[in-house]
Amino acid sequence: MKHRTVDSIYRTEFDLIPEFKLNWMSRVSGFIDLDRGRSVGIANDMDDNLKKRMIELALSKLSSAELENMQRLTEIALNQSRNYGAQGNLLLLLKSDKCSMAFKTVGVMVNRTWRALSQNTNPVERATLVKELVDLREKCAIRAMSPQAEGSTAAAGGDAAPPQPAPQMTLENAIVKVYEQSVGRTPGQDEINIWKNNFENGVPFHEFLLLMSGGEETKNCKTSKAILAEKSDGAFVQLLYELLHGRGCSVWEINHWVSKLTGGTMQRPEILAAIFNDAVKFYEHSSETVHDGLSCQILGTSRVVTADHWKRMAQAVLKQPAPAPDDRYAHRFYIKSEPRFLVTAIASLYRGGDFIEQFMDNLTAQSVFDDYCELVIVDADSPEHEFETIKRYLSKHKGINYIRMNYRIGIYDAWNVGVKAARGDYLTNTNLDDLRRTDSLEQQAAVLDNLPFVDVTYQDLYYTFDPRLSFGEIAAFGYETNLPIITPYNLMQFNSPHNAPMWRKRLHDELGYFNTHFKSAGDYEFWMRCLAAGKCFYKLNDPHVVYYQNPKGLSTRPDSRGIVEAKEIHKTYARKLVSENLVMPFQQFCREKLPAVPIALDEGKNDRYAFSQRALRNAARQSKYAAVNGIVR
Amino acid sequence: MTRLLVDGVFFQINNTGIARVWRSVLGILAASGGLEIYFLDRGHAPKIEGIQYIPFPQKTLFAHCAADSLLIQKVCDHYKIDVFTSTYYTTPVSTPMLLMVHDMIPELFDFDLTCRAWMEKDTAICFAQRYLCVSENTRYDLLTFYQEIPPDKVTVARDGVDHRVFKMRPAVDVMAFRKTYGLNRPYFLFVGSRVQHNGYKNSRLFFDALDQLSSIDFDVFCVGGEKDIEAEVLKGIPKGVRCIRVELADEELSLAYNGAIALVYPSLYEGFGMPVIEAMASGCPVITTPHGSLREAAGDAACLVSGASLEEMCNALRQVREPGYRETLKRKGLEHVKQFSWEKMAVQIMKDVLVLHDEAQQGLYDSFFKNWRQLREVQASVDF
Repeated sequence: MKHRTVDSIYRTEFDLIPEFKLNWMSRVSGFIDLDRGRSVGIANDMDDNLKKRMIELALSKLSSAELENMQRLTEIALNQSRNYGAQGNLLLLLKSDKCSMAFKTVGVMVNRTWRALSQNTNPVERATLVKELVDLREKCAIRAMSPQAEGSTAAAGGDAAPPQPAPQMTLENAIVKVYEQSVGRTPGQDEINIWKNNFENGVPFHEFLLLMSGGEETKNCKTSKAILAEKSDGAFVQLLYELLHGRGCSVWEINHWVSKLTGGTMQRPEILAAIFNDAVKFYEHSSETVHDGLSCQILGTSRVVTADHWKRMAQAVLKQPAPAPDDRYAHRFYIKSEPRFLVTAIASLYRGGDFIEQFMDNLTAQSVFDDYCELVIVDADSPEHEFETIKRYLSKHKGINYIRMNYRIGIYDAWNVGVKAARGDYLTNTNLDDLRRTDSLEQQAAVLDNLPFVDVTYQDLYYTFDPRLSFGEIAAFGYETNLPIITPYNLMQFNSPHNAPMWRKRLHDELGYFNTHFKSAGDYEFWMRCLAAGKCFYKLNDPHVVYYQNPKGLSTRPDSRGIVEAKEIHKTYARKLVSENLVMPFQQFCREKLPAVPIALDEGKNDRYAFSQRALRNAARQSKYAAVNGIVR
Repeated sequence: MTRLLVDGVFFQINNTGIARVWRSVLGILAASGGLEIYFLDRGHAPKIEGIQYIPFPQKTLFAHCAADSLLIQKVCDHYKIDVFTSTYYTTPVSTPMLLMVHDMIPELFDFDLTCRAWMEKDTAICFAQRYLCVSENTRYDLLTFYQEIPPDKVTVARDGVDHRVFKMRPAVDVMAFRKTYGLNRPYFLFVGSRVQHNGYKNSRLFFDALDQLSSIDFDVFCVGGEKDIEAEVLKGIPKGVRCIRVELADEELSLAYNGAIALVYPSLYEGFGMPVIEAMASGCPVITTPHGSLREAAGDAACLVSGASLEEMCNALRQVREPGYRETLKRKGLEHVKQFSWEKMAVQIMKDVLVLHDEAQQGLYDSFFKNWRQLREVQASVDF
């Protein structure tokens, strides 16, 4: 830094504020000391008004690149303000001595505020300092957004904005491109600065190209890309899972491996080997997997319910007086349709002798059963004479349709028979050993009646290990799910519609029936199919159904059938449900999906969600009030 | 009639001050009949006559936020909602939104802004087109943090007080209340959270000051806030002073104010400071600071301390026990608090909703909505 330069800039740019002269020299000397890394305080006596004007003026001189850098600097200052007692000079982080005097002026201010902040524990004073930094950051952001921001020559004055220069290849962009091509990553700001310096000192660009193409990192990169070089990292990982594991790749797995590749800690051949090892392990040990049905995870929570714990709790819970009615969800939908067969409950029946009476009682006691419901029972040639029991209900309720097959069919075959026979617009499956609160069918039908955009409705539910308890008794145990809004990624983790969803019959016209190839996860496959087709799922919070965790039942039997089927389903749907936005390279994602978001080159995290958030922030700055401002003018 | 959809998400999460604000204004808005009000019930919604409730999936705290927005939008579209507002920070993607902003505390006090909950606040502020702030101070902060917002899009309606609940009570009722809680000695009242991130609640100053007082003839009554009184707080309390912590419904809280020596509210920052005006309306002297919005809430009717000096706090605690001074504070407080009412806030909300509806009908935000929906969909697609 040369005093001559300071002096000339001072004369040309800051003569505008006469009272500024006095302070300027003391500030400049403070800055020089700071720049050398020594901590010398700057004159602190500048009055607020003057400071404000100085900042305004300095900001108006910043080029758009500098405005962006300044935003980054204030961001760093805010993020690092929790390191109480920090010393040092933030400006050194930028490692650039090519910034203008105006930039340095503001930079000094940021640096000073940051240090004051990091040494201050008084909340009131801290808040004031935070506000100063934020104020600066936002001013830079707004300026950077406005078309006038380009170049420091467009200083104050009533002139029309200068014409926007056509986008061109800057030196910085060229360096980035070369890095991307040769070592497959974006360079850090420090690396860019080093090269810019080198060029200024006379290093020719072709020398740079030669160095980059011959380096160790480039060789590594080439080995890494040697496998399927034309595929993106994300697509590479997806293929490995599909081919080696025989299933689709979850978004967490993609993220895990891709971050290793982009971070340079692993190369493609190593990842291939690692995933292959995993697959071998799974293959060799899959028969040892123990899954005894005596415990299960409560969906949407980290809690596990076990049969043992249930038994221990039972003594205490069942002795207690009945708990107060659940008033968390006081408001509900009501059915709008006139009485008719609106809902068809489908039950597949095979060896249900133990439960048939309880089941018939529970279903026919539903509040809307006689007005709106039909129960289709598909008897898959069960040997336990359940019809003897069912007969007793036929005379009392017109809505029971009993269909007996004369050969054993699978559960999803039976459901399809039920779907085809159904007279209702809304369908639901009813397992013999599950239990519903008396308003369960009514609540579900009311959702579909009121919200035409909903295709499938589901709800939170209670677990039980004892199928003979009443709904209220089971609720008192409190094993309640906390199911999320269904998204592609959480449906790939677990089946939120679970044991008792209700859906529109017309879905089958559009998407087909349950796939009878499955024995255990046919419903899951259908919900995946719905989601992939953009269908809407809607959750009722009120837990009005009970799921019986049956250690012996088909859907929880401890063989690997469920696992095999889930793998197969994932193989089909992972590609359809995992967005391309997560698979494409990060740079491409930002460029194509988040226009107008500057990519911070020195931010290694590549967090796509956070970058989308920046895009939202910029959309607000840029376009929210565009029309309003237009009208004001 | 303009259709307003209110997302009741805050009631699912908590029952603190913000729930009180919405319970109060929604009752008035619904009764006024000027808007057709719909309400997303995610659980624990207040029951208010004249509002149409829509059961809506509970929010998983705080995940699937972008998906939540897209689902809210479907409800807005189906019910042909004109204006959306949320009791917290949820958003649609293309229905005009009015946002009530209570404070900028997380942004100012080093909360971790990268956690989803605060990112959602950022989203809500970015998306909303008009704002209602509960104090001038909050408005100023909002405009500092989000400088693209034209100042005329941000109105102020200070929090109110329910004068039917927070009022002077007959001595016999106050006595009965004190008996119930064993408050047979004079007592200082402390309301709400005692420990907050970064210590801006400043309760330490109060409890430290107690130790400096020479005569020990009073108790400390804490209402609400953290369930257990912190060890470090108890340590500072002089022997002989009892410190009790309870949860009270509004009726009883009003009685607690009525019977107290003073409300001690040494906070170094608030978005508004409802306890201050509730105490005043109940005839209770208030010791507080001029920081954040507290000067607005307290006016010239409270005993103001800087919040930084132990000696000053001690003096204030002694001074409020002098009958003459107490009487002055009480009289000033009752006068000052007359200006605060939930009706005013409800009227302002109504105005803002209608103006926003009108602006939106002119198509002012159409291209922004298009842009926003696209970006929020991208965000949903990378949210796992």
